[in-house]
Amino acid sequence: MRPMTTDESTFDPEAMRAGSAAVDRLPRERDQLLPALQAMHDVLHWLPREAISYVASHIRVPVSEVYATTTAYSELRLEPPVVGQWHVCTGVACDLAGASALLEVTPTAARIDCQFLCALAPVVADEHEHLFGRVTADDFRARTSA
Amino acid sequence: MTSTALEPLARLRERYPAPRLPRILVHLGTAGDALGAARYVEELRTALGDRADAVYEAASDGANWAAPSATVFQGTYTRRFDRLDLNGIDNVVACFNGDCGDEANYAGTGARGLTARLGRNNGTLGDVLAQGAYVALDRALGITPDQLLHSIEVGGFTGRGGAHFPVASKWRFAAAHSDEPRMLVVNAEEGEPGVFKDRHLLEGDPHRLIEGILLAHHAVGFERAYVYINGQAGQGRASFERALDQAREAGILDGSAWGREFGLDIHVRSGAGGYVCGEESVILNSIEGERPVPRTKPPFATDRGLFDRPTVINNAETLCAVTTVFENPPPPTKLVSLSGDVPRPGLYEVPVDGATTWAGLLAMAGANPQNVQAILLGGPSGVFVMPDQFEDALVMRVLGAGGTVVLGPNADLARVTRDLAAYNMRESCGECTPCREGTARMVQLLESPREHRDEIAALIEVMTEASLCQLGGMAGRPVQSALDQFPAAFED
Repeated sequence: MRPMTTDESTFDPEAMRAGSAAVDRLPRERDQLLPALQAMHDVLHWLPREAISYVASHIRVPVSEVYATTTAYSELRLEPPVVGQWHVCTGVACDLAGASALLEVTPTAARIDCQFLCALAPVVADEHEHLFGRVTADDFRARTSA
Repeated sequence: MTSTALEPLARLRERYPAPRLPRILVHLGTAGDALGAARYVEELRTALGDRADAVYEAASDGANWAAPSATVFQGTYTRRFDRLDLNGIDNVVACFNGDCGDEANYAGTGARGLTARLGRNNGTLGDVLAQGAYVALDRALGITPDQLLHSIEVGGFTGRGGAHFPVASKWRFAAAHSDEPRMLVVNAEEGEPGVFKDRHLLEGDPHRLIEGILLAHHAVGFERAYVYINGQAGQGRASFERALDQAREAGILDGSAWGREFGLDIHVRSGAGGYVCGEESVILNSIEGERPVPRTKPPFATDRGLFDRPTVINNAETLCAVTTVFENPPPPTKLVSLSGDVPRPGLYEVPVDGATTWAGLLAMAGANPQNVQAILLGGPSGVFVMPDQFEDALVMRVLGAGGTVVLGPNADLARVTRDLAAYNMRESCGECTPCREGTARMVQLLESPREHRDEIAALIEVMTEASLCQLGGMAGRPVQSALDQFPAAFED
């Protein structure tokens, strides 16, 4: 289970206000739970404890249920994203095309499951989730050391 | 068809004219963007000077192997320029000016049908109307829902998401329900590793999906439709929403272009990750704001689905396919997402009338079957197609969702199998014991499968029979297929 932490150094009250405003625009209905979490996530890029609580009160469901739902979705982060983090797709096609060589070039890069761009393998993603296809080890070294 | 039936379409085409020729479409979309294709839009506009407005951004046409690419439409012929680099800009410009060389034709992606307009339009309503969009809807509105259901049945349309269930039967189950309102859920979650067809459809021809939705609405009658799109398919969602706006403005969505009131409310939702979210009952829970876990069946969705209403759940490709219902005959094709060790990986529309074999598909993709150890069909829920099956015909029933990864001479088949088992373990939602515990145990047993053959067989049986949904139910398939067909690969 992922921890539900709020580190003051990464929590941004201004972004939280913007995220809350986005949530406020949604109807206070149960079926808006995921859209509300996504609206927060789009602004904050992760879901701190305060964001979960805000969504819970807006949708009027217990925090525990919002938390249970949040943890079930792999794209909803409960920790702030790591600045400058690169990901290497390790789906079958990317694996065949040399994903492991890319991970050797940049050991700080993290593995990520299929990005559905299999025909352009191997694929990497930058911290903003922008995808790059047909990446060679040299390309990747250049990008990640830039 | 009477001439009056054509009037609304003719009016739409007059109001939304096609862009003039010649023109250049630069193929962007997720695939083009991943290769920096946007720079060619600027380069070509600069090169064309006062004709810069003839350069358009378009989506991928499925030929991912050719990206970055641009297609010149000259009227009587077209030519796609593959693997563009900045030095190739002059050739594209020359073709635009009338000199296309010997290759002025279309090197496309196999059979045409639901990919006919894919990436060949500039994203405007006028362009797709000129290429036949909403012709099927126009025709369907001239017949009764029963007649449309009959045509769908005769066309032999089956679900393209993997289960291959007859479309007309599913629609009839819901239509027969007196319990209204009914719901339509479009499954564009596409979370199966190795599959990228729905993303292409959404990005490259979103009006086809809208037309499919409206055809289903004419046949069944829904109050609401929810289009559930994979959370990472951001461009697909944007493209679909743009098309919805166009169709709304043109009076297509509400039916006013035909003097009707369709009364259908279309909502777009994004998923947020997880292989299990492609399971149809999980989507229902997700839309309702519940935890994304499967539901027990029965009740089936056509009886009690979304918000407990009678619900039709169709894959996005299925609804795109039914727009070919009035073609004579409808093309029996399936989209195949092809990747792995082949020279031309991409999206293929493959005839499944028995005339194309696996070897034929490999040939389309430029691969020599003799250099292929196996084809992984269906990802983590799939099977391995071995060389002794390469002369088998491709049929809809075996293709599932159409995800195929070609495993070449250097692929480590045991490692691929273990990776798939590990993926299923990570993606199990944990709701039911056979899947939660079984997928984890499978990973352990695959460390030394020879000593655990009986236990693996028993585990697969339990997972297949007792899992709540098909993630667990089919997690044993690739393992079984691997141990049956290449047991030696697991010997160290």
